Amino acid sequence: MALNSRGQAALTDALYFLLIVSTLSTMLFFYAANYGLTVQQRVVNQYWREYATSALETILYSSTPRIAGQTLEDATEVDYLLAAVKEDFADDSQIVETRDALLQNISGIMQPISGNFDYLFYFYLFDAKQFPFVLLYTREAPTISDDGKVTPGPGKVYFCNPTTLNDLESLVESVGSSAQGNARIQFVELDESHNASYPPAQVNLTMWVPTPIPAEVLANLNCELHQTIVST
Amino acid sequence: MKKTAKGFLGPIGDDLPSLIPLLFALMMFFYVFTFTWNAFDERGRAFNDALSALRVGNTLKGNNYLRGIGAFQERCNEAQALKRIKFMAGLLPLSINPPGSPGEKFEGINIETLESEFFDLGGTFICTNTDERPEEISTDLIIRSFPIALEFKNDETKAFYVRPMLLVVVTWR
Repeated sequence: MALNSRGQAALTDALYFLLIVSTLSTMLFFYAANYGLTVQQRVVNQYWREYATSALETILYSSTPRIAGQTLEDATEVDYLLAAVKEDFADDSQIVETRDALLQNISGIMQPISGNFDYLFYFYLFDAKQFPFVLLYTREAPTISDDGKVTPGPGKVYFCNPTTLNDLESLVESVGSSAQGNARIQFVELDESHNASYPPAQVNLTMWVPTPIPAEVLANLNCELHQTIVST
Repeated sequence: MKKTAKGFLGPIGDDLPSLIPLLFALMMFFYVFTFTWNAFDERGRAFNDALSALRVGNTLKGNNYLRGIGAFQERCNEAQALKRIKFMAGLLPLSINPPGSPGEKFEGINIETLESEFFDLGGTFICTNTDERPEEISTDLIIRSFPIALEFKNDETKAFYVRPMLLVVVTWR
């Protein structure tokens, strides 16, 4: 009888051991499967932040032809794009004449990733609380035809006129995770007697994975559709 | 006692049924342990590769302003000190020209050459630390790109302009 009891006890011990090992193995398996996912996401986010910062700096360093329609290679006279924008702003506190050159430059620099990212670029004057230039690029969702062919959605370029910085912050909050580049600059303003003042401003580039923007958020930005880009 | 003794198979034989779950538990534990070890190792290597790609990119782009081929070579020499991963980097022109003019559209990235087919940069802006070339089918291939401003200078007139370019870094093991 004693020998039989010993056999049953050994089997019970083994089953308990199996139960404990199973629990530990399951925990270890889930830990291994999820290990590093957060770090991986952070490394990717770090890359997109680098891209946004590099893009912003490149936009600010770039040159532009003084005569519209010329290319940089053929231009008879070139200037820094930022200098041209400041000169344009100094006339009437608006960015009008250099708007297309700025748009061309931003679109060109963001083109390699424009299929995968939407973006926002703006200048903001701290003292006047004004936005002399706000550009919003969004890409619509792709469409799938009956035969399964996927057509990428068109890209849309808007010029916007938000009233407060909160309107832009609401936009950035509504799109989820985003990467930003920021820089401080100084504009030049001339009064009637040609005395110059140098209002401080912020230039910002924010990019995010295409996400539908809530209608009320878009409405607050007072955007005007400038261009629709159809992918080929 | 007699009945019990009849079914007695010896010290091992008597515990034979209990050895089955015991061995199964040990096999399961060592399988999961190996899986976890490999997962840690593989992910750790992937992080290091991703960080190395960023490090090569950061070294080559510096402050995002490149004063011609000389500056590029200096930064390239610095980047080549990074030995733990193979890399190849090059500059491609971005499309900032008005519609209808040459270079209106971005040409795309050909990782085998990393050179523009249509645009003359006035030098070879290629930096690599190996004689090998990246293969598109490779699973450990990492491609990172960064906009960068490149200065073009006319040596006679000393006039210059700054053009946006795309620095493309391809790394592999």
